[in-house]
Amino acid sequence: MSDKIKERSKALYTQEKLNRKFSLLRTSLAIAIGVLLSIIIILVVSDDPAASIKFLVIGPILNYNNFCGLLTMWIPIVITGLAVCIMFSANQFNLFGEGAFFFGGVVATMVALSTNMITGIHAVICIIAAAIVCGLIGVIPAVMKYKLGASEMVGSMLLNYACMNLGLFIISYFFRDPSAGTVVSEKIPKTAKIPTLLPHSDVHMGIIVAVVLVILAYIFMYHTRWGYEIRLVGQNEKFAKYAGVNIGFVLIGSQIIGGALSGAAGAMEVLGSYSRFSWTTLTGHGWDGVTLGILANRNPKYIPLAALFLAYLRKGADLMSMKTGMQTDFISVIQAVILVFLLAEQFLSKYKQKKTDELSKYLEIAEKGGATIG
Amino acid sequence: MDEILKVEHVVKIYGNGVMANKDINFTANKGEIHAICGENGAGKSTLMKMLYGIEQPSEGSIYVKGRKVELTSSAKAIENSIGMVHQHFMLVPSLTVAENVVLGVEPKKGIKFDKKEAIRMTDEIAEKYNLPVPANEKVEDISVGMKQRVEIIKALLKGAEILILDEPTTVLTPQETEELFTELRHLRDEGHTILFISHKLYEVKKLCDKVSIMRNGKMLVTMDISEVSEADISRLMVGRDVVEEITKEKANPKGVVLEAKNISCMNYLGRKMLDQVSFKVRSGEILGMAGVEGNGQHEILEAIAGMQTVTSGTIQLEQKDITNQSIKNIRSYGVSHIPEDRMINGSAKNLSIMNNLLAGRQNSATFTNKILLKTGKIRETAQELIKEYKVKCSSENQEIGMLSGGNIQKVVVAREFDANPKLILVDQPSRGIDIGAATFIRERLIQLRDEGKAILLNSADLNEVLELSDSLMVFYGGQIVAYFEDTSVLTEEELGLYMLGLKKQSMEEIEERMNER
Amino acid sequence: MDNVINSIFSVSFMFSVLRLTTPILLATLSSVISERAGIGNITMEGTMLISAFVGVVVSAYTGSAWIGFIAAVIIGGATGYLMSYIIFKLKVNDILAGIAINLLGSGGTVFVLYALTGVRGISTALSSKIMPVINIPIIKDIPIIGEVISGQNIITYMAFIAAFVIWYLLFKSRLGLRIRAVGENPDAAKSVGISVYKTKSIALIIAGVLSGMGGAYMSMGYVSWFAKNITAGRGWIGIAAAAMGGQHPIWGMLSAVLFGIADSVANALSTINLPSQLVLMIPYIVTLIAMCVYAYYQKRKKVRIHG
Repeated sequence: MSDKIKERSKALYTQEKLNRKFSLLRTSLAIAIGVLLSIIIILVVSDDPAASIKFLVIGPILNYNNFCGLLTMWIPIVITGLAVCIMFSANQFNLFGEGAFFFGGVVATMVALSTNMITGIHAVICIIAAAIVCGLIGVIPAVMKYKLGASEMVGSMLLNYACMNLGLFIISYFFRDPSAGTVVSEKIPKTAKIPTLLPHSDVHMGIIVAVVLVILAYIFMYHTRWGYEIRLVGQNEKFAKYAGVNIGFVLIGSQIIGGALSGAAGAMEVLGSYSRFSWTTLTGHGWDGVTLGILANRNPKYIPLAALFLAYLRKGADLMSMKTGMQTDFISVIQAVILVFLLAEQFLSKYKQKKTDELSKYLEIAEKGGATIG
Repeated sequence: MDEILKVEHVVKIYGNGVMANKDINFTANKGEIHAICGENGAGKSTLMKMLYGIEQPSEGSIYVKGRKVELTSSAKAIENSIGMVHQHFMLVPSLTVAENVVLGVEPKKGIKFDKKEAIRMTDEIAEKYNLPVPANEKVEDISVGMKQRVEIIKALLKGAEILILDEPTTVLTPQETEELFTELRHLRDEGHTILFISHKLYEVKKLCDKVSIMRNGKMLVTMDISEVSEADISRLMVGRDVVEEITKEKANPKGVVLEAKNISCMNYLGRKMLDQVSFKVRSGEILGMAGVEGNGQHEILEAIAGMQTVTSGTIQLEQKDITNQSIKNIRSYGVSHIPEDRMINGSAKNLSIMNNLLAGRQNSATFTNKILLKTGKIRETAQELIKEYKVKCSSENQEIGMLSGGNIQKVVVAREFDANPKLILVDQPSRGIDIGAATFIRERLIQLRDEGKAILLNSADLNEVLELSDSLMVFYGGQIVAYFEDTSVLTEEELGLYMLGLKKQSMEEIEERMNER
Repeated sequence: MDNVINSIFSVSFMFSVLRLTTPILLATLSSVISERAGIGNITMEGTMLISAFVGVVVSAYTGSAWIGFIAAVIIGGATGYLMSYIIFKLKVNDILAGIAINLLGSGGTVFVLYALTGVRGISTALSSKIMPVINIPIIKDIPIIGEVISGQNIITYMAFIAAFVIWYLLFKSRLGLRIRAVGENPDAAKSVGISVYKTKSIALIIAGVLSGMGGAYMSMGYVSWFAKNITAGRGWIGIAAAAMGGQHPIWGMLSAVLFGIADSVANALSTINLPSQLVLMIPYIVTLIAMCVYAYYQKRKKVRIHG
């Protein structure tokens, strides 16, 4: 009997390993397909494919400047990615990240231009203000879903457009620099700027904040009871309720955090990388966050790596467009393709089923005669 | 009589390795009502699913009218004149009766759905078999009994000669049941064959011509109904031989832990599920509940656990009122709950065993500091519980969904028992799990009782209830209809009479017996 | 302020209501048929963008508005099929698949536009065509009504006719019966031998065609070019309108008109000195509020029924 148990646990172990192996294989293949597709697109479209591919593939690490540019792109999407991790973990498809990022930038600009404080504190206050405002707005779709049962997704999308227009209104009517030709805010005071970290680059102290946030988010999700409750609700709401979890608290709380993080990311982007607020439309960072959240399987631990991949692709495409005139928007096509293959349960499933069947047969032999009825 | 259906050496092994049917041989004749009896998990449903093409046999063959058939889909079954009325109706609520009846074989006029023809077709069948239905009404607006009639017409319209009815009376009122029986007899007289799945023996005895009995995945015997009594069927169905005897000392109950007074509650449709239920559970005893499913046993457990709102009455745990408190509070006062369905309420299949073991105790000081969870302690506890409860798994990090049913149930049970409760609510502790795990869990329950826990047990498995309980309440229609101080003298036959509402103790009698202790 | 009131009660206002309702209505119908088939389809925004773009490009290259329109509709249907392939064959969650398709629509169109024309974000380099405006005989001579109803773009008429066609399809045809059956109880449909996959795919293709028409209208009727994010959330407003219409094509149409009115009011307000960005917020805020109010009453109704 004990031999049988051993055999069986061995088999279970292999099944578990098999599953893990396949999810890794699927992720790598999805990314490989994405990269391959980028190369094909470039070959078809570009006038100078060799140079384009070179810039896409090694551009970001070609020199110090490019590498710093890569890091600068990495900062905001790491944070929006974390926001999505937390909201999606509770099984809430809140897409407000996009609008919150934009509006966070607006709030930070407002606070920066209308208050006077000493360097350092000023920026921190701006970011906190952005986080609070966006967290509170993020409550709207959450409450709509929890109290009324209206789709949090549609609600958050509408909020995105509303927040964009509200933000543009605030900037152009109260903070606009009349001497500038386009609608941009006045210059953000030096005291509110986030200081740069690496010399001769745009890489600002926000990178440290991002790293700290990754660690905090991971600890929050996997080492505190609140994170545990969020995951419990996301995996099985009925079970969570049975386990005594206050469902409303979790759903609304997770979306406040999501909105606040996205807002803070937007604030940091404006205060760290721009001299004034100059966005005229939504920036796409929220959508990047969604891609990363899915790529990282909702675990904050994997966000930095996933973000590095996406930022690399972005920066490479950027360089490519500067040097060879290729356009960068195709990256979102690649994003879409990677997402589909990543999420496709059926992708590779035949191969996996074959392996599982082999395993089951092995298991059956190991357990011959031990089958029981259900 | 003509043999219309024959099942030969059919074996069914599910993907997860469970063998639900073992070498089934069975025949049914034209023009008979044939009962298939067996306990939950005996393999009745599996066999019927294979006959209707929902599942395919792993081995063996099925013959209809002497011809071998491959029932690879429901469409194939329909082609071979087999129809089925599922326990959960396969109807589209917002469509009309006629639309539901013709679904799949809809009459058309051009691209237009021919509603008149659909109604005519429905009425034609209804008239022919004397099964009147309101063809033009929406299914969501008609009664349950009527819905069932619609299902029968639906099958007949598609040419069913063999009609499978899966526990058709569970959802019906006695009057509706009577009507159904009349209709079924009429169908039999018209030459149809009816397979009647049930565990309500008096109905079987009353309605059917023949009875086949399944137990433990095997087909035991087919007999003429006139040859057997209800008691015989029951004995064959249950068969003491499969249950391992559990040794237990006589209970030594102490103070009252839980007192329920005049509890009533309603389900979401406003139907009264519990009606003035009162009882006490003492420390060191297992109080069992028996009854046909849906008579209030499950609801009283949910009400105590805080998952169901109590409309009147009070629930006290050691004299503290816990009526309608939050689940979190009730748990913190020392109530554990093994839920009826481990996959819906009892676990999250994509989380690790460790995380599943933590649920409900994430706020306890044992497992969390002010901010951080005590991950080391959680892991240690998980490892200990896995060892103690002999959970077969690779490690505490394994996703619980990858375990077998018995092992998942062990995890649920381990979590609830380990919380050091005063009161344990137990709902179907061994449903659908292997005998080894079931015996293990039963022995644990006895052990906990001896340690002085108060245990309230509900199980559809009569053997289990009788074996484990020290005292027993019988539920019927949301009320307690009988109370037995000592279960060791109680026979299944007698219990059955109370469960089916044929016998009833008076309120005073029950109260007196309960207070005697 | 008088100006605004005057302009709201003017004929041109009513005219613009129909004009602005058109894309929302088509997205609404697209959502209605998807929901009736039991699919959480959120691809309206992305599909409209793709079709708007394809319509412009094809009409510019062929010189024919109609060929452009047909291409837009076909690509819309193809996107619907793509969606069905992704969710049923590759087994991707419908919402996440929708997010992917929306990404494809927003990024892919801008990219291909650039690859074709070398211009970022707007298609003014292409000499695209627009769909004809129809003056309805007799009606056009009726005062007021004629001025409101006649002289709209042909796609506007198609949209309102489509609402009735979809109604007929869903509630009077055999296909519609099957769509509703698979949407409400796929097991029931399967148990009588209906192919759930096939039926749902057809519903998604029809939904794609409707979104495709909406996209074509945006770039070949409402305006005569394609610009980045030209739909500006109308797909999402359509989804909200469908929910408010109880997933019924006719009630959905009325909800869409409500949002068309909100859009027109915004337009009317922008003629006075109100900040344009605030005015642009109106349709989204109105939709949000309408969603909440509707959901609130739905919830109350449920509580009343179930006690």
